[in-house]
Amino acid sequence: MDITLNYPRPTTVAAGTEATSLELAANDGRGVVAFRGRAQHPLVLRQLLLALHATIPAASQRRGWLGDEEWRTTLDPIVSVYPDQLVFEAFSNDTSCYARLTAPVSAFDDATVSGTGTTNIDFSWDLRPLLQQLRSTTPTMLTIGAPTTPLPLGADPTARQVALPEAWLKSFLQVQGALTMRPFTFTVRPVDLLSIIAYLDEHFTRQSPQGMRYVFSPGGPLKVVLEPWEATFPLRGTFYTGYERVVRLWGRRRLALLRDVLPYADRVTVAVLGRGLPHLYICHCGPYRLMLALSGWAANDWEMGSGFDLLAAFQGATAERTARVGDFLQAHTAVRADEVAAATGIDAGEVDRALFQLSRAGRVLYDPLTNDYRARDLFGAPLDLERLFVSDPRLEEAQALIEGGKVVVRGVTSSGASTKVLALVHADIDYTVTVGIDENGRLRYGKCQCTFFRMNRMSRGPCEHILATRLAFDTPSPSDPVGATATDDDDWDEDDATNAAVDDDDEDDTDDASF
Amino acid sequence: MSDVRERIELLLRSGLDDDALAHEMEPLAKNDDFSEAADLWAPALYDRDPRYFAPFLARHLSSSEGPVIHALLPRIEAAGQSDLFIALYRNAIDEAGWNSDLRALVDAPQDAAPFARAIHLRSTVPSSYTLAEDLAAALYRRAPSAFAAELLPHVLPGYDWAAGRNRTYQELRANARAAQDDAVTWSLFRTFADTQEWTIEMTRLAAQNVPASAIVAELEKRRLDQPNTMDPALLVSFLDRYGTTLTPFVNANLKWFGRLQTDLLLEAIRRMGDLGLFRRVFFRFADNSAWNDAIAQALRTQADDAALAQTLREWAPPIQQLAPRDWWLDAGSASTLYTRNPTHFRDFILLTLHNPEPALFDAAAAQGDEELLDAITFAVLDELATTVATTFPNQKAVQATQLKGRQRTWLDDWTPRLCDRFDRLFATSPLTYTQHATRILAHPLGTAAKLRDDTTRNPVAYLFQQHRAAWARDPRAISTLLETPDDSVQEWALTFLQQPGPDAAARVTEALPSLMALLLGDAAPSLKKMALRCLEAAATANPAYASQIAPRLEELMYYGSTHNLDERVMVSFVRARHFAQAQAVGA
Repeated sequence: MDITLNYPRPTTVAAGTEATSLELAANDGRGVVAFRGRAQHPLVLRQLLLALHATIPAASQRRGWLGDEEWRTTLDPIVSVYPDQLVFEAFSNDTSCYARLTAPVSAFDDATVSGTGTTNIDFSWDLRPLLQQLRSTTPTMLTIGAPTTPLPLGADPTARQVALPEAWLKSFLQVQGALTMRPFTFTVRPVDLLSIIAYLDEHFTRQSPQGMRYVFSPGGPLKVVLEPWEATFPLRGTFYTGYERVVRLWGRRRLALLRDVLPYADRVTVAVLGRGLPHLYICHCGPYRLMLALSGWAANDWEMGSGFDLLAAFQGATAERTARVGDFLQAHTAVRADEVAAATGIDAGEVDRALFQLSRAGRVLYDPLTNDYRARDLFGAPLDLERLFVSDPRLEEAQALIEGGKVVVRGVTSSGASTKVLALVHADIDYTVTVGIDENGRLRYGKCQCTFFRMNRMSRGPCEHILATRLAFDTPSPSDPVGATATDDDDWDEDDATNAAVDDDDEDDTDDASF
Repeated sequence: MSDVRERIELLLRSGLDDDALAHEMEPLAKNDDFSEAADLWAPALYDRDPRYFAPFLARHLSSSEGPVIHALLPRIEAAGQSDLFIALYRNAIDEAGWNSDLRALVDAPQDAAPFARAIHLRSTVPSSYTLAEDLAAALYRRAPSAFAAELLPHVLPGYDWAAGRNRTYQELRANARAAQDDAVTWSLFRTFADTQEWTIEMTRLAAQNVPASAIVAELEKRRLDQPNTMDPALLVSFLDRYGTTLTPFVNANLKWFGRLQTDLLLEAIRRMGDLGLFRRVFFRFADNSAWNDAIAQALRTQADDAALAQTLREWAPPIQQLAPRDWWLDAGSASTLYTRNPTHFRDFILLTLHNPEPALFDAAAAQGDEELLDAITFAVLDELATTVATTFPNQKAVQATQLKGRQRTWLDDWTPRLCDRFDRLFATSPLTYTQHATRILAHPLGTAAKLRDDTTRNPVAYLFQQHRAAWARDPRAISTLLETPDDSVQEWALTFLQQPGPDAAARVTEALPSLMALLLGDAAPSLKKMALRCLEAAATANPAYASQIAPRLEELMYYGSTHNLDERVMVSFVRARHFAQAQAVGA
């Protein structure tokens, strides 16, 4: 997909003795988006903008300049101006990191929002030393679009065509969908994360394994264990009461992106989905929030990996209802799903599915802390979603299994908001499959014995047998024992459904999509 | 027989089910002897259950077990286990083996679909693997689409040692041309065409009346991977003919253009009339000398100040650069510009100032232009840093008297100017002095800082040694320096904070976030010690400060870096807390 970035002037920082002006140039191909205000905390804002800036180059490039080729496929960050807040978003070249900086308008004095909407901002590599000129001691005026100072000497308009690879585009959209997956969250002290980052800086190994494990043991604090040293870091202030669980993640060195932010953070909200699945770090820095979302592995970019759309409910909302939900968001600044349902009269489950579809289409921004949804058009151009999200071969195989009568549902039990389905799938061999589905039709956990599941668990989405079981639940046949209690699987009962095994390649039979 | 091998045999005979067997094998796999027994366990596990043990095989068979993998691959391929095949094939095959494998494939009778699938399975080898020339042609003839999709990236230039010449893939190229396969033909052209071939092709293109809407695409097709084989004059003729239509082509290939004759290209772009493009090319590929020549010529030829200012705007170095370099205005040109008109050309001078003349300083002083004087001061200190770095690379501290000859004369020329100005600023008010000194010190001094402890008068020693009380009284100065992301500037700030008294203590508390960031970062231990001393001194000076500082120090104790000064932090925390509590009790 080609995107034209047209900046009549570059982003500039004019640092004087009495005042500093940070003028972020906006892409004038996206309509008038404009904001002006004096930052109350310029130093913190500086650190957060620098972290956003550092996210964009891939990990392998972070110590040097972006070359011409990388620059040609690098999309500048996006800023969305709302009446009550500014939201900056950046996505790394290697699609392993997503950063979002949220700044309330109330964190600026003499603030003026003169154009709401979404645009790109000129955020070149040169900007780094300029941003470092911001000081807490000098009033700093932030301007987005609508510059107020004369064009500085040496400032050239830039227009460049960015050829966004489809894989990158799809990954960016996958992130939006992933953020709606309701992860398990807990609050961590910044110095504890800094200790982990420092340890990784100070120790190097070529030995495997090189994962990072979040260890959840009931009755005590959460812990982080770094492999292969088995260095353990208790997360002070946390206390866990759920079931015993380990979530193993990779690409831990990307946490260093938060190094220069954490000293200014009051606390950090950490969110995990499951083994090899994305994890989030939301740094609360006074009025600002910086969210860093990392894919489950450094090499597992969002596009290749998790297949979040496969975890979502299949039967999406109808086009008409999705449009109504979208229109409602356009007319309101920030709303929750239940508010949308109440106002539109659309069933809550369908609203949830519509919001997921809109998020995945880049048209909605979801805040995992407040559960608010906001209208936001990531690219300003219609996307060919059918082409981007071509039907996954696993889904096609699952449908073939259903059509071939190869899926026999043996038991369905409902427990509160979740449903457990047990099935026998006759594929190359017979697989006993178990899935858990939440009240909105999303896959929450699964278990299968096939090669794909054993190699990947749920980190690349469900296998075709789990999908087929899920599909069978949606379209039961008369012979399915709907409502009967599953009794044949002696590895599984209601307690075990929430009792995911130790996350070890040999022992883990079950993998959660989330808690 | 090794213990591991015995154990494996035992397990394979034991009658365990697949889960239990896998469970037992995993810990064994961590043993160094495990790979040597691959001939035993790999085929046995595959025979037992190809699908169940596929992940295990993919994880534990590496290039060391090449023969074992080779023996299994035909069965894996026949079973349609693509993922496993790809995972193992890549581990087991070297470039020669890969070529042999493909050679056997091309000769084997197979339908198109299985052939294409077989190619796909074998295409995920390292990108450096190169196809033999005759093999590439044969594969192309057999399956042009599969070849283009999977194997074209392995048609690489380089030297064929067996043939004793560079690879040219002439047969493949001829086959592609004969098949009218434009995509492959042009791809190979870009990689392998020599100067003569390129010239013929470009001349042929020039003779066609290609419309402006299509010319960029046509030029892209013909843009060689090795541009130094192209005649720049021929390219320039296209620029002259198509003008700004080719701006996207030049923009997209800027890096490649720079390898050609820049002068020729710039002249052509000038004729195109695209100032933006001219600036992009000039500031990417020209040098400082050419730039100064252009400025000097403008100075000589343009009498009207407004017109000259416009010209300088066009020559102002870009503030955003993909490949930055310094554009330093010749000292004489800077002085001439400022003397000619202090207002019109000031911004240009500020943007490009480097190693200025004392005459410029004197002119700015006469105008009372304090901002320019600060910039000149820093530019002088920057030049001093270069002098010290080259003359005293290994000395930690330098005295001005160690400079000799022209270097000494140069410094003696500048010292009274700069130091007298500092005196004047201080006489105006201490705050005036610290404000200007802060602006100067916002730029790191680098090796010029080696002069700071000098007992003879020099501007660096002045800034470091004089008016410490004024620094402590200025609320903005210390924080500004601490927030500069440079160790040496932060060290100066911490030095200024060492002095006793309520002012320094107040500054420490105001700068608490920056000090904590320093302590939680990767600053040098010496810097961290200074920061801790400052915090402790401030905490014990005032209970209100202690109540702010103590919790931060307590949190710092949990920082698990080896560079954390654990014991010192603990001592500082205990003292701060004790002071706060004692004062509270006393109150």
